[in-house]
Amino acid sequence: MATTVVTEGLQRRRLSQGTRHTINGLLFASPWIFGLLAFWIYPTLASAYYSFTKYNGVRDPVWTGIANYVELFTSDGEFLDAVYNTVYFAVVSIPLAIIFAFGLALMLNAKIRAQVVYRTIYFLPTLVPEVALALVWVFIFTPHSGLIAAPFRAFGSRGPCWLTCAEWARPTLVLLALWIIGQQIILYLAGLQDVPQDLYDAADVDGANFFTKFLNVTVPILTPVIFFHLVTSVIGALNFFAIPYIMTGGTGFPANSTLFYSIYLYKNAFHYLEMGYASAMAWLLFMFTLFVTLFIWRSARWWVFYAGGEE
Amino acid sequence: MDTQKMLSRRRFLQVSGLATSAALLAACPAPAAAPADTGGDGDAMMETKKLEAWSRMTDLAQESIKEIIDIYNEQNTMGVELEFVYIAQTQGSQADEKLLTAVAGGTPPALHYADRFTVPQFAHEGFFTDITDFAEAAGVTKELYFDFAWDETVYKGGIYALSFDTDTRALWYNMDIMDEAGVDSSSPPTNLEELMAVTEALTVRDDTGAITRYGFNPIYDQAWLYTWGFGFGGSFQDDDRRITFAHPQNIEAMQFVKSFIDEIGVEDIDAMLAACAGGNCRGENDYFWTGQSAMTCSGNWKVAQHHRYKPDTNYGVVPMPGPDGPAPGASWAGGWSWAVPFGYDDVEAAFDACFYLCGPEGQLKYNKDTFHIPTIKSAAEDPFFSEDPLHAVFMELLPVSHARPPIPLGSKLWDLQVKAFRDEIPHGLKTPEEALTDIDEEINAGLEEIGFFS
Repeated sequence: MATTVVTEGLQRRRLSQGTRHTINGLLFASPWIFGLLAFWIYPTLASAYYSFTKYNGVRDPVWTGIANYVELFTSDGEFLDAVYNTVYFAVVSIPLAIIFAFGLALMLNAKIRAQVVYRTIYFLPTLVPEVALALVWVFIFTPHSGLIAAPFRAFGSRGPCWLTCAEWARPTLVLLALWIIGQQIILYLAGLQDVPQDLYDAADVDGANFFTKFLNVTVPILTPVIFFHLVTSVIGALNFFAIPYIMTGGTGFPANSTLFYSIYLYKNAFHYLEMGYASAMAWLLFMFTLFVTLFIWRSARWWVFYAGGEE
Repeated sequence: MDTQKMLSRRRFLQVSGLATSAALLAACPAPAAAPADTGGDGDAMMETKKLEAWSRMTDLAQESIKEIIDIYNEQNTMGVELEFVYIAQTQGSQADEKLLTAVAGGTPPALHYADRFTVPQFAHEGFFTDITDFAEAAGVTKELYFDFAWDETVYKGGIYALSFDTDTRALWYNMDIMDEAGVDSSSPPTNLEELMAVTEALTVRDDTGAITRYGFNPIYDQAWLYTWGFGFGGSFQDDDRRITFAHPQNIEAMQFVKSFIDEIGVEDIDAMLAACAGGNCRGENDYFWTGQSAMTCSGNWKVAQHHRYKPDTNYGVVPMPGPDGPAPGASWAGGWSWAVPFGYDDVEAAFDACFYLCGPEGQLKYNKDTFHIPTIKSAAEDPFFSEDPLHAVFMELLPVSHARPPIPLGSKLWDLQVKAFRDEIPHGLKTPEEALTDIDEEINAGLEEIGFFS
């Protein structure tokens, strides 16, 4: 017993306090580390391996080299349609979302009566689950009989064909995506309230009008928020799934115009049991998302302004 | 500092160890069908093993299957308790991510409710258990079942599911709407010319020209590519088991459908399908029950819905009209089955439950409750199925009904034909010949690749 105590004492002395803290920290974090390794790292690496195989999820994977990647780029027209739709959605919806969220935040920042009520109203759509929202939109956006067709009918017109024709399907989904920007409005609002009043005062002294102050004070101070919104929106747009999947049943109709990347990936994995092919798609999406995010990140030094002076 | 020392590694490990042990003990499942205490009453003390039956059934079907399961639980001698578990499933291709992940993860349910045309695919991919030995020991033979139902449950000589029900397809029409519109409801359309004329007569449009009541939508409900193709005398698989969507009669059928759609207006056709996205037109919200569609091509299960949702409205059923008169052969028989997913540990108990559900007793109750048709020939002879005059029409169609080609690429084929039928052909993206030829090429190449023809 005495020997054990002495040995422990010696070991404890040999370990520095910092090392002991590190070990303790790791022990406390071990459940999370285990979760990360088992449920994130392992599946991610396994998926990388499966992307080079033919694999259905149950049978042993068969190594096929880069065949999945070659097929994606050389003989899969639907894959290219899915890429086009997804990029279109991201390129059109993200700038619009930034403009709308910023604009609405500016309006909601105005010191008017019942300001809190307006803010709540604009945030409410964010609280509705996407699935419920999509089902309601089906009713609203049904050509001719949907709620949105009513004003057109009043003028004797059938109105647009919304999700039922290729020309309108993509813009309709962009329009719907703009419905759920409540969280972003809150971020911009917080940013707006962070703009130092003395900057506006200084601008006033210099004789700046509203637009000059907006462009030279408000926007630069809010660029970190825009940056955050941009990065998260890119990731979200490239993974756009639930709304088009529910509203079109994942068919991609009309003319593949609603076939988004994640939907096509899902169909390959779970409709056709092509898990290897779907893994290859997942890795391409991951690499593309990483590339775009890094590009935005690197570009931040040119256009993101931190009031504290860093960067 | 002292406080930090109090939270020593040793203490942390002690507490963690205790918590982990407690968690493991709590998570330890009781042994399945554990033997009873030898000192007591064996039967009374026997612990019941729970089996799960996964299904997408809702509404009437779910009520019925739960009652059947209750009966099985009362009378089975396996010491098991079957439990119904609802799972969502993608309509059409019947993709089922919950089952796939459960099988991949080694925790499948005892039974899974499978659309029969997907059984060869799931068997080929290794998701279902070969139950041939159990089926043979229980006396299950091909002769007991209708051929098409049997063929869909067998893959490469092995039995992978037991069939549960079947159905046929015909033209439903709302007699009250017809009378109101001045169309003689006692002489429904018998050929395509009449169908188009009656459709026009029953269609109501608003000031903008948009349809507010459809006479008939040629690509809604069960009016599928198969229905029209069979109605025109086409076929979808040759003797070598190759897919033949581009059969001349199928092409002719699609040319007719395209002209029919153009006559009605593709915008209006699309509007109806768009309104029904996301399952919005299921059950009592079906356009036919709401009176927004005067006629529809549908199946015998609608008889049960008629009794429940619209018992006071008068409906009629006739075989689908064809180019030269009634085309009873336009009907095709689908249906579902129960399978034992691969990896389930107690196949014997699972098969016992499956055999009851799909046996004469289970089939009769389910098919009577929901107005489907048993796949066991002797059960289908029960006079009940011909008592209702509407259902009797469907029973008469059974001997001449076709079936979809049973192939291991069932989901892919379903998706492709839906795409051709509801998108490419109606919108003029491809001619019928191009669209159907593309299906053949893609599916036959896929079947070739997996050695289906060898």
